[in-house]
This record gives sequence, C-alpha cells and structure tokens, in this order.
Amino acid sequence: MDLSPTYLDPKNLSDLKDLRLRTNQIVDGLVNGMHRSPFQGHSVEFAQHREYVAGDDTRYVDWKVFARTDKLHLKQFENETNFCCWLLIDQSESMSYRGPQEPLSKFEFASCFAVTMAWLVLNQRDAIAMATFAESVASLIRPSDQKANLFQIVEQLSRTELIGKTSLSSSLQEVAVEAQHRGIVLVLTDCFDDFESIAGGIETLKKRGHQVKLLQVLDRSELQFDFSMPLKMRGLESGAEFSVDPVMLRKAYLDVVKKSRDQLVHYCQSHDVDFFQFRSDMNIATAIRWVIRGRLATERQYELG
Amino acid sequence: MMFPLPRLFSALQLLQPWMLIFGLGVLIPILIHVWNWNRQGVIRWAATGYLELAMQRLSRRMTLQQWVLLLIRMLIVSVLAISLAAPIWELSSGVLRSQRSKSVLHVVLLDASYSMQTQVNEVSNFEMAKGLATRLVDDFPSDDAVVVFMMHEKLTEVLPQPTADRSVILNEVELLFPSNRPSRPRSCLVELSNHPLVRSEAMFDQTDIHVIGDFMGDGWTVGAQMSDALMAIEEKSQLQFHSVVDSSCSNHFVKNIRSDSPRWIVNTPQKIDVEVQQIGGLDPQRTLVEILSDQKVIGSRSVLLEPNSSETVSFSIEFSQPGQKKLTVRLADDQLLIDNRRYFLCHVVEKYNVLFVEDRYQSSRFLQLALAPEPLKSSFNIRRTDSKDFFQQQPDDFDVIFLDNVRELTDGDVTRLRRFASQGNTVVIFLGDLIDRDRFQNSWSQPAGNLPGLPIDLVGIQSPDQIKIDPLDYLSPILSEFRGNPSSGLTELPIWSYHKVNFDTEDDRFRVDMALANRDPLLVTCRMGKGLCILMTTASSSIAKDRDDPLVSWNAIETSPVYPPLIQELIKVAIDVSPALKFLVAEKLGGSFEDFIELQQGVIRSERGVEQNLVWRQKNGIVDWSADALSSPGFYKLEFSSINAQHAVDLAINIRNTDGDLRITNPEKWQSPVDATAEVSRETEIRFQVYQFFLLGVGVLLLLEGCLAQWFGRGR
Repeated sequence: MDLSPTYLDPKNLSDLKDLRLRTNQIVDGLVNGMHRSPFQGHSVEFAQHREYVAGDDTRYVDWKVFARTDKLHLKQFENETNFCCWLLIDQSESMSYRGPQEPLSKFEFASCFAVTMAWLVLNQRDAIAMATFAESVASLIRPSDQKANLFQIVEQLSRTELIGKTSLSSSLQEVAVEAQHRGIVLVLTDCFDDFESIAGGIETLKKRGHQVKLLQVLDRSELQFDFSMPLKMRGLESGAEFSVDPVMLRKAYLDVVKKSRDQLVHYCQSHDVDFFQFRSDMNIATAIRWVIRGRLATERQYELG
Repeated sequence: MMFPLPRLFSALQLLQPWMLIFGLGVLIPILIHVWNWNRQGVIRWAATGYLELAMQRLSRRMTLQQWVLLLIRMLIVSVLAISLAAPIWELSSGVLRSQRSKSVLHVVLLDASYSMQTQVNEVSNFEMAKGLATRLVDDFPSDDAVVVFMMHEKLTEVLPQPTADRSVILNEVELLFPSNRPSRPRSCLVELSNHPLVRSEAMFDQTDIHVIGDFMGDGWTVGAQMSDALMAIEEKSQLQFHSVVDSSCSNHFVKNIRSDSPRWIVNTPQKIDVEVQQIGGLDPQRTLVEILSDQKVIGSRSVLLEPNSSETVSFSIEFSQPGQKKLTVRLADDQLLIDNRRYFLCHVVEKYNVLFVEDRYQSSRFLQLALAPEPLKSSFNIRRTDSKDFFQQQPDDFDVIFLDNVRELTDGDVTRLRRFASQGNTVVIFLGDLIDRDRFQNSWSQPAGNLPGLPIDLVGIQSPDQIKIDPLDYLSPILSEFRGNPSSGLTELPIWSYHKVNFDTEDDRFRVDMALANRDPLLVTCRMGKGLCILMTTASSSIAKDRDDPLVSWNAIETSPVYPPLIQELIKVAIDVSPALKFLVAEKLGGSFEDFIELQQGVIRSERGVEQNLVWRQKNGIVDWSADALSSPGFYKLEFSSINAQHAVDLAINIRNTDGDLRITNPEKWQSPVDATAEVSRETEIRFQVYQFFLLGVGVLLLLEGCLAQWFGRGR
C-alpha cells in the first residue's frame, strides 16, 4: 500500500494536528465520542484527560488539575458518542482537468483533501466513510473509526478511474441510502451539473439529517480564463469542440462563472449548507482549516481572487 | 456637383506602381488570422457548461468584431502600399475638366514633315508618333470627341468631323504616312487656330490640341512670330506637346566658329576653327564637317566625336576676290537640322583701309611709317586728312581711324566717329599738346542717344622728371608679343609728357594695356558698342611739343626700335573687330548707318525671299533702324531703298551656341506662352497632397484599430 505524501503531506498534518472536526448538530454514533449524542443515560465514567483546545466545552475542564499544573485539561467521559464523516468525491471526467502549470488536477486536490480530512477525523476517533461518484456511486468505503480505513481510502482513490458525467442528484441519493446515521457529509465536486440536480442531491442528504458541506473545486484557469491566444476547446465530458477567442470571451465567461457561483451560494445559505469554493492550487491545510472553522465562501471570496 | 467615381479613380495615378507589391501585405493579417485559428492547440476543457453559456451570449458579436478588425488591418496595409506608390491625382488637367460634364474636343495634330522619317532602331519617328497618338486616343474619356490633322508645309485634315468612335479614329491614324515636305509649324498652328472647330466656342466647351512630332527643323525655333502663333492658339484651347524624339539618340552641333580676323586680305590664307560637339549617345560617332562659301563646298573634314565632348576642326581658307563672303559650316548625318549649321560673314579686302586724321601736317607720318614701311607691299591702304576735312570722308570706307593729336573736331564729327566705333570698328586716339581738355570731354564723354560715350576725364598734362613704363605683365593682347623679351625696349620708351586720365576702374569696358610706373595709364582700351576705342595718353611722336621756351617734345618714342612692332600689334587688335552685323535668333535687331538721301523703304529679306519690314528713323543723315527678332538662322539682307539709290547690308543670324542641342526643341522648355513649368509644379503640389492624405488615412486607421481592439478585448 502506498501511503504517498501526495495525499498526506507531513507539513499539512503538522499544521492541522490541533484541529478537530466538530459537528454543530446532534449526530448518531455507535460509540461514545466527543459529540453530543441523542442517546441519554450512558456511562459517565471518567476515561482520560486531554489538553484543552479552543472550542472545547468549559464544563469539562478539570479545575483541580488546572490548579495544580496551571494548565487546562479536559476530563473525558466514556458516554460521548462519535460521528461519521462522509467524504463524497466526484470522479467524473471533468475532475481530471488540470490547467497549464498547475500542480494538481481537481481530483488530485480533492483526493489530498479527503485523505487529510480522513486522517484528521480518524485521529479524533470519529468514523470516516468515503464514496466516489460520477453518474452514480462508483465506490464506497463504509464508516469505520479504524486507521485501516485511511489506507483503504488512499488505495481506493489511487486506483480511481475518472470517467462519466457528474450527476449529483442520483449519486447523493444512493449515498443517502447508505448513510443512515446522521453525520457530516463533505461533497467534493466541481459542480459541473445542473443546478437542479445539485440542489436535489443536497436536499436528499439534508432530509436524512446530515450536516452537508459543499466543496466546489475548480482549476485556476477555470476561474480566471486567462488564455491569450485563440483556442480550440474540447469538452472532457461532452466531447464537444469550441473555437474560442479567450480575449474576447473572457468577460462573458467570468460573468457566467460568477452567476453560477452566486446561485450556489444563495441556495446553500438558504438551506443551511456550508459552501466552499477551492482552487486546485490551494494549500490543503488552509482549505481544511477553512472547512473546519466553517468560514463560508462568501466571507473569503476575495482570497480566491 | 458629384464627380463620377470611376472618373476619379481613373485620375489616380501612381508614380511608383511597383511599390504596390507591398499591397501583398494584406495577406499578412489574413494569414495571421488563419494561422491563429489553425495553430491553436486543442485543449481538453472541463467547464464546457460555462463556456457554452458565455459563447451563446457572445458568439455573433465576437465574429463580427473579428471580421471588422481583420478588415481594418487589411485596409491599413493597402492604404500604406498605395501611399508608398506615390499616388498623384491628376485633377489639374484632363480629369478636372472632364468632371465638369463639358463637351471636350481633342485635336490630334501629327507632324508629317520629312524629318519624321528619321529612323531610330528601324522605327521612324512618324511610326512612333502614330503609336503615341493611338495611346492618347485610348486614354481620352470615351465620350470626348476627337479630330485628327496632319501638318507639314500646310495643315491637312485627316479626320475633320468630330467623332467619339475610337475604331474609326484608330483606323484613320493607322493609314497615315509622312510627307516629303518640310515643316512649317507656325503657319500650320495659325491655320489650326483659325479652323472653325477650334475657333468656334459654341460647338465645344473645351478644345485640347495635342501636337505630336519631333520638333526638329528651323520652323520650330522660338521667335516672335512663333510666340504670337502659340499665344493665339492658347487663347482658344489647351495646347499640349508630345515629342517622339528618343532622348538617347545623339546629336551633333556646331558650337562655335572662329576666325583669326573678320577682315580678310585677298590671297592670304586665313584660319577658321570650327568647334563641334556631340550631345547624347553612348558611342563615339564620326561626322563630316563641311564649310561652304556661297553654297559651294570649299572644305570638309571628318571628325570623330566622343559622347558629350567637343572637337575643334581647323580650315585654312583664302579668297582671291575681295567682297563680302558668306561662309556656312554644316554637319552631315545629324538628326536635327536646326543646330548643325553656322553662318559666318567675312569681309575680304585687298588692303585694310586706315584713315589718319591730324591737325598738324605730317604729324602722323611716323605712325604711317610704322604701319606701312613699304606702302606698295603693305596690306594697308593709308589715307590722311586734316581734321577740318574729316566731314568729307565716309568713315564706313575705313577699317580703322587714327586721331593724332586732333584739336578741332566738330560734335558731328565726333558723333560719326562714335557711331563708326559702336558698329564694330576701332578708333585710335593719340593725345598731345593740341588737345583741349574741355572740348575733348564735352565731345566724347557723354553718351548721345544710342551712341556710347568715352567716359574718360583728362586731369592735366604731367611731365615728371623720370618716367618708366609698366607693361602690366604683358596681359594686354597688344603687348602679348613682347612677353619674354625684356630687352625689347618697351619699358624704356622715351616719354616725358602725357595726359593724366581718370576713369572708373570698376567699369569693365576699360582695360589698361600699359601704364607708367606711377600707375598712370599710358595705353587704354575701351569698348564702344561693338567696336573699340584705343587711347594713348601721350603723343604719337616727338612732333608734339610744348610751346614753352625752349620747345620740349612730349616724347621720342619713334626713335625706339619697339615703336613699329608696337604700332603693328595695336593695328592688329584694332582690325580684329568684326564690322559685320551679327545677331542671334530671337534677338531684337537694330543698328544705324549714315545716309543723307531720304529713304523710302526698308526690309530685311531672307535667302528664301521672306521679307519683314523695318522700322527706321532718319535724322541729320543718320538712319536708326530696328526690326522684330528673327525666328530662323541663316543669311539675311538688310535693304534700304531711296529714289535713286539702294543700301544693302548682309546679316548672319545664328542660334546661340549654347542652344544647339535637342533640348532647345523641347517645347516644355520654350520661353513662350506654353508654360509647361507651371503645370508641372501644380501637379507636384497635388501629388504631395494626395500622398499626405493616404498617410493620414493610415494614421486614422491605426488609431481606429487600436481603439476597437481595446474595446473588443476589454482590458487586453
């Protein structure tokens, strides 16, 4: 098994070691964890201490230890449940696009993001699951809080073949059937699908009680369209060819991109869905930090430029 | 009024049409356009949905913009190429007139004189003229009417009815052939100007006359009559000349003709130098120089002429009979008749006639002795007279008149002498003790009428202790024979008294031949009209004495061995002035002579018998005459007749020796009503403006292209 640093960059892991992915809603877990469980009356036995990190509930601070050591430690109890984080990765052909002089394709970026996120989630003893999809779900790794799941994810991603068109509606419906327990669903896609299809898929997940985060991954050239010479462009999914003069087309193209993005942002805000737009040359740790801290795309729009 | 567009474009001509090759540059933007579309690599693209939407919005507009930019770029290259080709818009001549919707008549006048049979490269000038006429007719606007005439001795109608049918015109021109008659362009042009088609302004708004010919021959020489004819025709129509003479062909002409002396002695060989020049041509050419006397060839020489160089041919001629001789020098094998002849009059005498006028008896005997030591063998026929009897003499009977210490001369006598000198003769004056200063200056110094004066001021008699002669480097022709011979005694002439004279040293009529060591002039030559006056400020011999006690001679120059040769050299210069009436073509004629009998008629007559009346005024026995300039070179005779006498003088009329080349017959260079230079300069100005317009157009298009590209590209 190849645990390639392409997926897990030590620097990223070092940057992210203090982060914890937390839900802002009640989740269903099979085991106790640090997330609020809908099930009351389970064991409240002390399990261990751990260092306080920002965001922890101060009710669990062990003040005696603080008095002795002058450091904040939390008391952990066995009755906290864990959650399952679903990583849904678009494996349609359009995700294979990598602009000139870009380090990663969109899928590679999404893979790196997913593996790093999986490592992070597993590290906090939550369960991780992954599915890749195009027109339908192509592969599925069921939820597990075992480290072995990380290796499975890596292995699966490394052998994924990018084919087909994106169909979020049907794919997410399939995932919703599999993910019966409420958890966090991160959808990594370029959103090159009908808006209705995207909205339909997200809605299905939301109805299941999942906390959905829509992560749109685009290449820099898809966002800026900064070609200078006339080009012939052949669609990765459709195969259609377009002869374009980018200089003349750029404004109209950027208008279309903005309009599409505004539509998604508007939808997500109104349906309590976090929307993030990532550029494939973005730093993975930064991207994960944004997701964890829940900063919405609208707040960091300027950073993407 | 709107100009018809095709006419305007036909008026656009290019001086350097080969520069239009840069017009192929329009392919550059096309190629770039095609190349850009073809070379574009196919890239695989994910966001086709966005792309499709954007293209739906822009597709048609974008295509239109691209075509507009392509068109502008092609226009820039095209206009630049046209401006490089130096476009001229010939609105000044044909086109502007035709734009006015005027009815225009083109008169094609072909020179069909014998000179048009001249062949260059086996093509005669007449065939070239026909070709030129055909091209001209083709270039005329199709609705303009054309008539065709020929000219030689007289005007001949070829196609007298105006027609616009080009095939008819060209057929008529094709059938023409030249005549064997000489050219008389002036009379033909006059005849044409009186032709009903040209004269009547009611039939056509405008008449253009196109004269096609070689412009060779005497008839084309510019003169007053030709100028009048041209002016008359220019009043009614536009006159255009088209020469068919090949500028590369060579032409020989007689540049100059010189003789040792214009007065020749019978049975004495005289040398005549003929300077012949070749103009044009690339190879040396041989030509035959012939000299004729009274229509008979008396000498001929073959000479090889290098291109654009001149050669001098010498002839030795002698005549056995006295009289006026007409010498003609001509060249054979020349293409231009007008300039290969020179006319020269020489006066052959048995002896030179010299008159000595003196106040003191025998005072000039030393002069006579120096001139003719042996009177019977001498070439001088000497006569002497007292000043009182001078009025009885006819000055024109003499070649030189000496005034030796003459006190008494009436104003009339002085006037006759001044006229004698101004007509090309020489008066030699020796001063002396008898000269009265005031009388001399009053008589001689001021010009009278058309007679020149002798503006010399006699200051007074000078008698310094020691006098030395300064020959002034022997530059004078009188002294040139003494150069290199310092022991001749010229500088030691025994002179004790002289008249100090003053004159304007800046006046180029004067030349000091010999002076004294104190810079006072001793021998002075002054031009008077066409002749000379030679003034010696001392006396001619020791006979001149001051009346003081004791008597002191002014000099003793007759005792010097240098005296006879000095007088001989002086008379040589004195007789080397031609008394013949020599004029140039197009030069105003005039002169005077002495005749007391009332004249009744005066004409100037050419050898061909063409006459022109003279204008004259007779007063106090002096006849002043004048005549219009002559248009043809040759010999002429000036004839005045009275009741019982006739006075005739021969004239030789030549063209200027700088005019004897083909260019003089180029009508564009005539100083005549045909002002070709004005037309040329106007066209140049228009050409420059058109050129500027095109460059301005390039600039505007460049600006437009930049703005549009910026606008379409939005931030490119």
